[in-house]
Amino acid sequence: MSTDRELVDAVLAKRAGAFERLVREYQGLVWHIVQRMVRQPEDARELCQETFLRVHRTLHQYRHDAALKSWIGRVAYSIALRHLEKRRIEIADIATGAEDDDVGLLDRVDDGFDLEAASADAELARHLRSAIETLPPLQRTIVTLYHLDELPLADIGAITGLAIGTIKSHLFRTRLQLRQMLESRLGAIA
Amino acid sequence: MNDTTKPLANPAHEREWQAQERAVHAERTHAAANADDARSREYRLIARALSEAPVDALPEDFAASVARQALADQRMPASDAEPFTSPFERQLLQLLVAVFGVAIGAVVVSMGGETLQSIGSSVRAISAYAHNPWMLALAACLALSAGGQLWRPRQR
Repeated sequence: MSTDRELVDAVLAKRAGAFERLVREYQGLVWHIVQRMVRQPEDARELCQETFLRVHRTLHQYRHDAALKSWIGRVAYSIALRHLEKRRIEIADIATGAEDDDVGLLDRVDDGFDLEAASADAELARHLRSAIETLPPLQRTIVTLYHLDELPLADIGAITGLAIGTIKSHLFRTRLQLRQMLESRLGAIA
Repeated sequence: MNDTTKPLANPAHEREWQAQERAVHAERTHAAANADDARSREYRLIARALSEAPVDALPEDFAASVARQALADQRMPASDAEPFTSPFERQLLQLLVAVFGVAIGAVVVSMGGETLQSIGSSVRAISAYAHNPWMLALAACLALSAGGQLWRPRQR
């Protein structure tokens, strides 16, 4: 947090190279959020640039009440969300966020399935990557922030504006859905 | 991992969540896979796939390029900045200009004759005064005074 403060102070004092340092520090996170939400590489690059230009214009409003990472992530998420809304793209599979609307959810997976007998990891990983690409933007972003950026649920909540329980439910259901897909894929191969 | 979060309402779902989290932890700590059951192995594969970075990436000079752009935006005078940035603002401005134009047209059509008559009579009255040399001298004084007012600020 103190590093955040030093970096923000340096940018606000217009010290040479400070803003470029800030961009380098957070461009990975911003890219993951925007790319996972939007998917189109060209649009995603433009939105990343828009994110950092907005951060530059509004950094004086940052009050250090949240980690700078969450604040910048929130800006990126809002810009990507507005982009999808303009194009009338659904950002979430509504059912995935509601925890208890499907009691039989676990019935579709088989704990006795022999994964290694069915196929090689590389092929499975390829199918998993395709399945991840087909997830709705919100679910794709949440699982990326949790698994790739290793953010705690609270930080993901700060970025997306969703309650921790909702994020947990999205994560749980998305991973379960991927497991079901994996098993149905393996069942077809075996 | 996230033990402090509220458990899922359905106990079977919470157990499944715990299995997912154990697999994430095992994957992050590179724990040996020998003792894993089928469910854990599947979730470890899923955790591995989910932690892969996207294939596309930002250009290498992205940070430098954005920093240059931010600096250029900062140096741009306010008069050069786009005053109406959103499409809604631009459309609203166009609509207001159109309404203003229509209103001017309506006024000219409804009161045009009367206005032209009034302007004509004013011109005739001014031309009558113009023949008086004292009035010409007064006009010249007023013009000189106004010209002086305009010129003065430029000296500062």
